[in-house]
Amino acid sequence: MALLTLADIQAAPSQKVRVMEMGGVTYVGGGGLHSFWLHTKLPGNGTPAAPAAAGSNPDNTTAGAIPFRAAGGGLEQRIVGCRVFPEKDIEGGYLMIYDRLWHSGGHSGTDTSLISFTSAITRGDTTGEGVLLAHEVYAVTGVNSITLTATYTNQAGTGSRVSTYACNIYTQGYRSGILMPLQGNDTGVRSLESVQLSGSMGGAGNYGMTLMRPLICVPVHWAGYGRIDRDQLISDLFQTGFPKIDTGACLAYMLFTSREGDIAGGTSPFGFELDIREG
Amino acid sequence: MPAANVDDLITMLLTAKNYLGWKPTVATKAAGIWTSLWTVAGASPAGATPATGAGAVPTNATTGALPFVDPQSGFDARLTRFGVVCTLYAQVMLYDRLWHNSGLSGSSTSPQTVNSAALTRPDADGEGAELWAEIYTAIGAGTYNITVDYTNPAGTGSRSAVLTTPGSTYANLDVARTMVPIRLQAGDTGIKSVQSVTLSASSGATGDFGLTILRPLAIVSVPRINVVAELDLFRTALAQIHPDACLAMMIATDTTASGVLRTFYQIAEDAQ
Repeated sequence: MALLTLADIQAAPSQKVRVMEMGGVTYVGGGGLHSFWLHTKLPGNGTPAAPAAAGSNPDNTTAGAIPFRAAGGGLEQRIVGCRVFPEKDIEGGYLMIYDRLWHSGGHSGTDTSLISFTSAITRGDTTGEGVLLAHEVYAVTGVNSITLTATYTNQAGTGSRVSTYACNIYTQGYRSGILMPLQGNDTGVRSLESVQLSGSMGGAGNYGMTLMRPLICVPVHWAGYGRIDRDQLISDLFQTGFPKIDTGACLAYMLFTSREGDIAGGTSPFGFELDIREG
Repeated sequence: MPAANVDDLITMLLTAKNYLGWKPTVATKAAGIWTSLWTVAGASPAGATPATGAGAVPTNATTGALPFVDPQSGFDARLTRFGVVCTLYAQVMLYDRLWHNSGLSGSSTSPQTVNSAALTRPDADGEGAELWAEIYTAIGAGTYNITVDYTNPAGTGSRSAVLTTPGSTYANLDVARTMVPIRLQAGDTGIKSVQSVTLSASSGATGDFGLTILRPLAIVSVPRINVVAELDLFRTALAQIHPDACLAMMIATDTTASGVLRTFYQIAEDAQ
């Protein structure tokens, strides 16, 4: 039975997937994305590590992925709800739950050579429609202002598309990242071809590139201004958009925030619960 | 058949597409004044200053348009979510940019010919469309009126839309990216085409301004900085996004900057 009606959803078995993000790490944030890939989380799924330089296709068994029970034979899974419960405060913006389709890491912030990749999407819509390209920092790479240039193949299969971003101190913090702007009217990335720095970031560190398919974006609040501590932030069926979880999905999460600049002090622990239905 | 019940809404969401975007902060005219984000580069490249004279009909293939994939045949695209988070208190409008031009002089008092290119979405009539002035290079802060000679959706020409600038801060067009709505003639509910523009007096500077015909899709208010403000499908009223729509945004904040903006929108397809 597919999940096509309200009655289908109500009848479908519910899997509640709870994650406690332990946070507590001081980092220089900003730039829009905060990656929790390397963070300690409960329940865990092994000890996460920065990806290898050549890149790979993570899946639900990869250390760092949110553990969840895979769908039974012939059935599909969809997210019908999400609630976020911060212990104290959290950066204002969106908590993005995404399928981590491909990732690389181990690149040096002082390496200005052209780094080439052979990347491919192996789950869901492999055209790359709706797939985002992100730059992630696994170890601080320095504070120099340089330009990061990536070339990619877009959702239509057109290669050598160019994405550039002016990096600065706020985008090179530990676990910070950038949602790379796509060229022209591109609406997705099919594969990453290369990446190159215009100059040294100032330190080797460790950065990587990630292809991700956003599944849900849950609004989260920033501390202060009347925010209620420990307020639950709930997204219902219509807000989540009822996204499908592709078989083998490597579920992960990032914060997509408006604040830029030093947000040292770290994020306090927060948790969230996904309601996954199967049918 | 269009969505008629909750189950139909669920069916729509099965193929919904999510879009994330961002815009950096730019200088604005003043608190409460709308500022165009068309020429601001962010997740999507900056749009170019439009063609002069008859202008052009931008589409989802025009550089500067927010990402939007046309619906498949037999389906309508509908806005099911629109949310923003901003570092300033703000109102943000998502709209379909139906037609635009530039090259209008802020110092000429002669009628400036436009004869705009025909609208295309969903037809050439312009029912429900709005007329805005948009500044590409600042014009002066003098006292003058802008009169636009236009044709309404019924095909009646020689209609007049007037923007009065009695030296008020609201209507001064002396900062680039400022956008100001121009009130249509009484009784009109849209605008089909623009024939000419006439200033009653020089603004004090030539600059470069244009006209934009647009159809608002959603407006969201940011009541707290760095707190997401969002509309779900009930609050967007499932606003229809026509094929080839050139999605764009404008913002009004409480100061002379637009603020760092992150956006999220979701578009689903509804069977016709």
